[in-house]
Amino acid sequence: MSPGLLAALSFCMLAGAAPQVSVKPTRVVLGRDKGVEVRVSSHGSGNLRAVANVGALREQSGGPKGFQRYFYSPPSDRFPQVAVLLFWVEDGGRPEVKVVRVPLVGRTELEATSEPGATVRVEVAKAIFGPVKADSRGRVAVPIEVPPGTTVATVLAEFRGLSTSRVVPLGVPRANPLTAILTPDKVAADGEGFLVVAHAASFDPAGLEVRVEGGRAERVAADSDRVLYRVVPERGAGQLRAKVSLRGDPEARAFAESEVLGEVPGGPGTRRRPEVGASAGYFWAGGANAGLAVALGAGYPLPAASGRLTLEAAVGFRSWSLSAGTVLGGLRSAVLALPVEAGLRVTVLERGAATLSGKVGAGLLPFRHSATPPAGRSFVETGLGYEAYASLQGGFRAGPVELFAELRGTIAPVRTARLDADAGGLALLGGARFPLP
Amino acid sequence: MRPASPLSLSLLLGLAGCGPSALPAPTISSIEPGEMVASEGAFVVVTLDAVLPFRASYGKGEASVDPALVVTFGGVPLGPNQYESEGRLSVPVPTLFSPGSYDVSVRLADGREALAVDGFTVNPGLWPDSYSLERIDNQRRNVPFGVVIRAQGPNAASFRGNVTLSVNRGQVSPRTSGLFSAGIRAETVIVSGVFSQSVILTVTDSEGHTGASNSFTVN
Repeated sequence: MSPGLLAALSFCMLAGAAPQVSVKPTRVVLGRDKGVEVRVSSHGSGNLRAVANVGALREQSGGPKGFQRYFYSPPSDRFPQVAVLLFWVEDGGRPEVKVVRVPLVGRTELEATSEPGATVRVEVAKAIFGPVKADSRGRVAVPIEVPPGTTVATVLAEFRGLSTSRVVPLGVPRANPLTAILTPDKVAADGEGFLVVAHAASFDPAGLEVRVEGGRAERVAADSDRVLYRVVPERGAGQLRAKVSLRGDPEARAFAESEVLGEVPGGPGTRRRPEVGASAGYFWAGGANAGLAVALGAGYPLPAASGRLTLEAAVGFRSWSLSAGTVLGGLRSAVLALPVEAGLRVTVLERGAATLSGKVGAGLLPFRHSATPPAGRSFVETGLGYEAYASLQGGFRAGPVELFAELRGTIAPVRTARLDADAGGLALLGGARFPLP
Repeated sequence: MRPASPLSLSLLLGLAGCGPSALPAPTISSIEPGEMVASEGAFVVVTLDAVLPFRASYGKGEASVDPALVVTFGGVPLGPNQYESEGRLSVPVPTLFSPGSYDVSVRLADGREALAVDGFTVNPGLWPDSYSLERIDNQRRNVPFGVVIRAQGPNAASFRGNVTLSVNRGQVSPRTSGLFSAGIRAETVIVSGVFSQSVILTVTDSEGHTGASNSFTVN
């Protein structure tokens, strides 16, 4: 079996399970028709998805289960082109796409000059418009309709038994013939997505150039009007961005994107990789309890929670000081704390590259206190405190790196007989996480 | 649960450095002069090396130091009662000590104590034979009045010591006089605890030489 036949059979199989679509009318005369009523019937448990390359495809309410109505409105541009409508059921698997093409026919008046009183007709794509009689100065304007892909018209004139014909360009701008979708909207990090590229007419799939940022694309099926690719996310990618072009046609370009998630929606857990990270910021717990906070940490995603739970461990550094007057003179005190903490981070929201997480944890707080009382020797003491914290993290994935900002509330008393301090309070931290290879 | 190993705990604590959790004991680095004549008082400078009790309250942005202390010679509390500049404590030592060696101690407000065993020596002195007090008129209780005390005998003119004061009824303050000068001391005293009674004021030095006033009425 030849590859071409295999591909065709593949799409035939797809077409058999694709949504059934009917449109009325089947073509739109721009400036005259308001749009197209679309009826779709589909099967399966996934969501029915619909996309148009130009114009707007609006879902209409009502209808029995498995049936959906849309209304397609053409774009405000009046030049002729083909509206490509794609329908498929998004269920996490290989998409079965129904492609519907609606010609958008342009209307205009073709102005020409001929002999005064001549009878003028215009032929556009084998359709004849007119006749219109030329005025006393030989000018004539013939209303015509121009279907997509038509770039010239033939002006036919008759005057006193003589016939003339002239081919004139219509000046129709070239339309982008390509449309692409990347499905599902959210691709599991260890899963796969599918890129469908459809053409307004037919084309040579060998001329397609596909580049996917954040993933690898592999062609799995091709036909004369569409191509299907399987797309596998790269490690650590937060998004898949597909850019498609067609050699020899500078107007042919398409773009599609999907979000890469740490889990398959409704599916089994995703294996996120352990990560390391660092953060730095400022803490403030009132009075002189304020200073630098730095931490180095590691995280281990728990597979049982679909990658949303991450066990974290970190060692840190906090430093702050106090200078104050006493009855005998100034006293200088400085505290250095090295927190060793463990926590649990819960990713509560993922939108594109952005994440929102909550975190709770606790730890030990070894510290060193040095003081120079007035008129006396310096003194150093050490101690061991504890801390407990809760925080909110907002993250943004940039390739394999996730940048985050954290607002943390901490209880961390640091006390001895000579020291009453706090290494907690509120902290504002910024940092980055890197997945381990 | 598996207990943490001693090694891991020591490493954890080692991260924070090493240091005592209690303030170091104070020390007396010098006592100048280290001796005096029993009949001549002295101002002694005791130099203390100490980290005073302190507290840093970061939440309030405040710090405090407790300068209170007690200096004793032979167990007898003497002034000053608080820390002085650079730890140099000026101690007036009265002539109330018999010849011999005495321990000197400084106890800080948190109980830490510096001790110089036999740190101060009292040498034998020359004492008056007795004391006389100029006539005292009748007085009112709790109202200060002046008393002139004169040393008597061959060593009277050189006496620069102290005497203790006492009354046969009630109480007198101060209990120890200031230093004599050229054998004379003018002291201001208060008698309390009596009413419409005759009182006799008596002075005594550390060698037992005494003197008594006339009997006067305290109203």
